[in-house]
Amino acid sequence: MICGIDVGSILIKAIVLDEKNSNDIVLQEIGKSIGNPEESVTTLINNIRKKLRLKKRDLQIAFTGRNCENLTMNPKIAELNCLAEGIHTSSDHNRIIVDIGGFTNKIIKIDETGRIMDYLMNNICSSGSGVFISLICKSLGIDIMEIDTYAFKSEHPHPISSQCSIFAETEVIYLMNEGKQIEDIVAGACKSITGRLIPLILKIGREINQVLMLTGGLAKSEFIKQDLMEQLHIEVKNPSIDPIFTCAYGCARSLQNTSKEEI
Amino acid sequence: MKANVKPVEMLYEASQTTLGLIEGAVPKHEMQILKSFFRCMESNLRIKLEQIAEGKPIIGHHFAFPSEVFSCFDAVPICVEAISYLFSALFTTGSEKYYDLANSWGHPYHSCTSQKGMIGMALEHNFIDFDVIAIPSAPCDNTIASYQFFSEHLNIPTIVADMPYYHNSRGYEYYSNELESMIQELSTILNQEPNYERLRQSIIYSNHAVENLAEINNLRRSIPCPVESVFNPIGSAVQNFFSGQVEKEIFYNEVLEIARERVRTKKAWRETDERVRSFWPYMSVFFDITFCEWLDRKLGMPIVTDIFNYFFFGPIKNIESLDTKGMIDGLAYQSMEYPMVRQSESFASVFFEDAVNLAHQFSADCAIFTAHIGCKQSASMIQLMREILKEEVGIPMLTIEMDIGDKRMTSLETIKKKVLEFTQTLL
Ligand code: SF4
Repeated sequence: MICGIDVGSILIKAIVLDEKNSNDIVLQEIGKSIGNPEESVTTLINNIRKKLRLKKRDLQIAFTGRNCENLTMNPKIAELNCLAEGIHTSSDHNRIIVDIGGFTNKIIKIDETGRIMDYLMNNICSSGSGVFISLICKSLGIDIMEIDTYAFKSEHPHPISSQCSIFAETEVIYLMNEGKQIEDIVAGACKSITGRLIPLILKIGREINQVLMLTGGLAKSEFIKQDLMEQLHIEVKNPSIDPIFTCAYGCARSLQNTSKEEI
Repeated sequence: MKANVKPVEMLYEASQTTLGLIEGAVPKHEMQILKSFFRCMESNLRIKLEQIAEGKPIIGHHFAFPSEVFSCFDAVPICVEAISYLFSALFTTGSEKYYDLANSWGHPYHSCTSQKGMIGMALEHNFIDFDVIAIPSAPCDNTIASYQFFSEHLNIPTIVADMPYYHNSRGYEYYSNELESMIQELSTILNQEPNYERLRQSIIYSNHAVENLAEINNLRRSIPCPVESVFNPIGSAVQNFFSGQVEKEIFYNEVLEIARERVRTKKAWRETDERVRSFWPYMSVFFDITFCEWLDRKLGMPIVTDIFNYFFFGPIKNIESLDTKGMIDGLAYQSMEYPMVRQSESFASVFFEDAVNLAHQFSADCAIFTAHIGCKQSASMIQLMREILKEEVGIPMLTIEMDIGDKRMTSLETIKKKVLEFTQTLL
């Protein structure tokens, strides 16, 4: 079996593919990356082996992700290449990828063969990425999985003006004290995310007429997806696989495509 | 009373220690350029300190000012920006304490750090007792705004040479007149008559340096590049700190010899093969020069050139026979075409043209742009630069938001991560 492990800033995602039929996802596992990633990755691998009753030699593994470089385990594959491979092999609409990660947003443009033509990431501040919305949800006392439920109810989304995740958290507390509706704050926070993404997307492809493929933790948010569609006037889709596992999937596919020595 | 020159003394001690360390610990044939730099640095600072101890006046100046003109006077020129960035390069915590002091005093955090280090030093009374400061009104609003601190808060006589927007014959003539009146003003403040024969000698040193740099750059076009990446940050320091002084000539001479030898013998000077040639349209990292070693040795990615290490002008011709006006005209032209001034002061098409030409000439495989929010002149050009380099040279450009003098804005680890990612994906 082939396994791709994406060691992200917050979560570790693993996907196991059948060696013979790579389209067959055998297992998806998720764990926390905070603390000691080496330990968390080892636990995750042990869980996978246990669940699938696999011996060590029966599971080929490759690693990727923002937090993987300090792992002693190998081989490692560049995260952006994995994302590109993940989208290229799982979707027809594959020219512009928008990945909303824990701390980083990535916009990747690929050609029809899956090769990266260009990419951009947010610089310095994590505002507008996954951790931004999770801090806001924490201040509001809601679960991050509920953002769509709240955001769609909003009639007057309240813009979160801050450029910084930490200040945004403080701003949310003020807004709550002022009596603003939770749904308006959540919708405003989602709009800040799209507000940070759109300039990056436009930088990569001025005349975007392709479908945007949305991946990463927040890709499941219908509200964010719709807002992007409305503002950019193009179609925004998720890949056929679970968007949070795109990078891990691409990692597994890359491992399958490349012999170990070449990586 | 002895003038306060604590920062210069600190740099002198740091140069001595670093030189001792690398000469003692690093094999003879390795890091030759870095060793040459520290030898020149140590000697230049020693002479400066001796002259100051003799009671010679100290002239503070901006990096883009043709400091050769100061040789008309029996005085010690010190580049404000070079002090700040040399602190960043030579001390573990760099200029950070001084940046923080400047910020907490009220200097905006989002301004360029070029002058901020010295502002902080002044606030800590760990300053240089400048008798006078001379600056151009270029290359940016940041320069002018920051120097007001020295003139208004510290009451140091500050002379500004007004640099015109248009870089044409009228503009050069105008700036030459500005330099001439600046010399007159300096003469009054320092109570000395200008000695133009000393100016001639200083230009002779600079001419040799300009010629040698041009030849070094010719050799850097070879594949593999025969010059270490560290030449870029230290070259910037040499440009600005040794200007018009013999150490600049010596340093470039030594680098030239090293480069010639490497090209002639085709001898590898690093264990890693050259894989990617990077061109930095702006500047490289100053706060940790080991980064350059990492690029060379770990990635095989030499910096083939950057904005500060390429002159778009030649030596001042017929220097032996030129009259005073001719010498000042030559300096006016050079300083209006000086690195960063040339690209930032006028319309940005020059910046793009230079970048495209250099990327072509140096066979660059990619560009890396270090952008800082404080430098509107260059940071606002990043998207256009990316597109132009892609369209006209066919190379990708990575932008890293950072402060070249302050590792706290973007750490070395993050910078390395971004560069590595770039090489793994687009190259
Ligand atoms: S041009 Fe930019 S880097 Fe140079 S001094 Fe001005 S603000 Fe600083």
